[in-house]
Amino acid sequence: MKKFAKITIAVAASTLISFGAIAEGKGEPGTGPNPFVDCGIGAALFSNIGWAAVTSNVIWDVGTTAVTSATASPETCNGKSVEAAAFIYDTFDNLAEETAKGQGEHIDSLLNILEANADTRDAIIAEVRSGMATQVSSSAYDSLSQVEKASAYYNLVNKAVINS
Amino acid sequence: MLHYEKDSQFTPVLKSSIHSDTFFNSLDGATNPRAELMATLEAFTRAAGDNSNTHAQCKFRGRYIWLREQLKFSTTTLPEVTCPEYDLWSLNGSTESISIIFATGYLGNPASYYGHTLLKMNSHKKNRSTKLEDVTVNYGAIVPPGEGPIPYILKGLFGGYDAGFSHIQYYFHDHNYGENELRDLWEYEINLTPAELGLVLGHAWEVLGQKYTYYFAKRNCAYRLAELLEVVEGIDIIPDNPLWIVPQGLVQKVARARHGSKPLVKNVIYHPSRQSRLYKKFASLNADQKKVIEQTVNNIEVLESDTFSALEVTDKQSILDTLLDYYQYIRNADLLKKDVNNTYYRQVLAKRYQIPAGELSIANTPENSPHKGRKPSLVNLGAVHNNKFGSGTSFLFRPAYYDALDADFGHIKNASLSMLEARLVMFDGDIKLRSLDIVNIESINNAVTGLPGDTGQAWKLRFGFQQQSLACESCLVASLQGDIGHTFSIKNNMVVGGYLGGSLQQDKNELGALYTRASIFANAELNSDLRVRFTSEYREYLDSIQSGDFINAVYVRYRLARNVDIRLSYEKNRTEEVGASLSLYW
Repeated sequence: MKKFAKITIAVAASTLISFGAIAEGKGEPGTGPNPFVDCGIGAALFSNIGWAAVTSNVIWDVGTTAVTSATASPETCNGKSVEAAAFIYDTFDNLAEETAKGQGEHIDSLLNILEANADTRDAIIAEVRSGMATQVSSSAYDSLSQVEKASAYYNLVNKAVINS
Repeated sequence: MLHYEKDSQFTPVLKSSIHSDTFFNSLDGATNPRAELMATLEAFTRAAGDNSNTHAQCKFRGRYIWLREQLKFSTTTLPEVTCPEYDLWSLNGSTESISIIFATGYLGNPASYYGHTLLKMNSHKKNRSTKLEDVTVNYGAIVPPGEGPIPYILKGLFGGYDAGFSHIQYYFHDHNYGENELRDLWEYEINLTPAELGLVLGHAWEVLGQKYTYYFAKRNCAYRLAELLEVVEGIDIIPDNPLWIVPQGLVQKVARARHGSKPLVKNVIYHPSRQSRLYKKFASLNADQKKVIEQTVNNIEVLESDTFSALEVTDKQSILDTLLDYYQYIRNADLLKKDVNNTYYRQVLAKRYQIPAGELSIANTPENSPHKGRKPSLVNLGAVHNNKFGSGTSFLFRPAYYDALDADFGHIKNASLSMLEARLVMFDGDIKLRSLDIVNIESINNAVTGLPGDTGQAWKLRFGFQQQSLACESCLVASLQGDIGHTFSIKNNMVVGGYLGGSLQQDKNELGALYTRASIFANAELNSDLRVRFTSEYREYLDSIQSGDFINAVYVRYRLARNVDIRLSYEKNRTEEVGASLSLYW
């Protein structure tokens, strides 16, 4: 079920809130390769944590799920980029819908994570919207996994932030 | 702040409910409050090493804040250590308030039946971020991977798991509850002074990662979360029930509480689930818009029609946004192309990208918040007349939570959920256990929109002990019953439905161990205080020579006050019995 992987991703992200945010990472937002490809998010964390973990009354030993153990490129797998990637993966449907509507709290949160300037956000959203419109219009999109969709969205946002 | 409790019911010895060695500065700190206090004070005075974050003033931030105030620490004799990690975690003092988040119950998982509570540290206004980025603190059991359902239930009930607090950004919970599990979230923003806020934050920090023992009934998420807030002088919010705590009971007590001269709760905010947003959007559509929705769900190509193209932009936005919520509600995203609804969802999304950006807002209508609901536990006492046994007395005890007649704010309408509900009857001084339900669930989809996939799936599960009929003696049997069915809504105040199912039961009185059954029911809400329920069941015994039974019943509930009702009943199961009773919720 998707929620297992999503929970795992978010747990990893929470580790980063504590530790990655403090580390002096070189992976500034809007730069560097795609965390889904280069930081192992797409491959390393989809272990089945069992049906019991579906419950809200369960927590995980956060210290054992650090994503940094799966990184191919530690310099680009810290801080904001991975935090953004985790956010995109976990809330992808909301982001995709809000991008279509041109506004929303999830988009605002993502752009906060990526430290996008307030005066460039409309342009960023418009550019991402244009890219997503092309992607979702293709029937091939139906075959993409959640990771692939989130990764593609990350690329759009990353490029739009760089261009802004 | 050290969470000392009586180690057992039979001794006065105190022991901390936290059993991590790292939580204590004294070797016997877990059982010796004075030793722990002295060791903590001594630890505060040590020089900071290379990493000040490991200093006692930082590790035990809550204790430091409280003791500093109580003992009036002098910075000359006890220099304050800087705590960069704590400052970063607490967002450099930008937290402006704390909220209790209550997630309504979820029948998809036993541990979630009664809802859940967690704390949110609100800093989005000061930081100009969104609430999704606020940090939350959440208490739960630490369950190892691959745990099976039976060990999970038993260990959760009897203390087989470690537990603790974890922290994560709010968006995780917002998504998990609101989007995946379709549970509404209610936020209760708490009135605290800045100093009190600092104390709660400091205490939350020092218990993060420390290990407790999890007990589903009492020492659960609601209890431990309330403990975090009760470090503030004058806050008393843990419900008084000595045996169990239901999260809704906590928020009800919180909502009634005062802190000084003000209510403890300064703001209640409703965060609807995807399902609730769908129902709200659908209800806001006019007849023409609903017609387009119904046509589209039967033929997605309607979106490419000239008729759709000719609609106003605002109509298109409303229709497509409702369809997005609808398909999100019914699809199984994991199946990709194997579930055609995923393709339909994408097609709706693609269309949404083609029309101008923008979103119509829907006027907020008051919602029935859980803290305004009735209390969770029930006792019921009444008089009965049984055609075989004569006049008698009935007694019902339900620790929690609701049945189809009294499902209230924060519950699933027309559904039932109870555990350890006991019904007794007494005829001529002879007390009999009529039933003991270990668990009794009736899960109903109320089919609000009537669209395909939102059309009233239902199931029932009942495990416990029941008398085989109203006419028998010595006929209490263990039984496991299960049914699946379908419901239909008739207008807004009536639901009818039918089930097919059966039971595995203790073989007694030549009725065998197996029966199948077909049943129908109707629930009607005649007004806000009066509900009626009719049930009829035909039971066929598979390994008995006895013929099948028709079992019929009518129940009426009239609410006299929020926590009081009267009930009338007529039941026929090999004999007839009528009853009248008074209920008190507590």
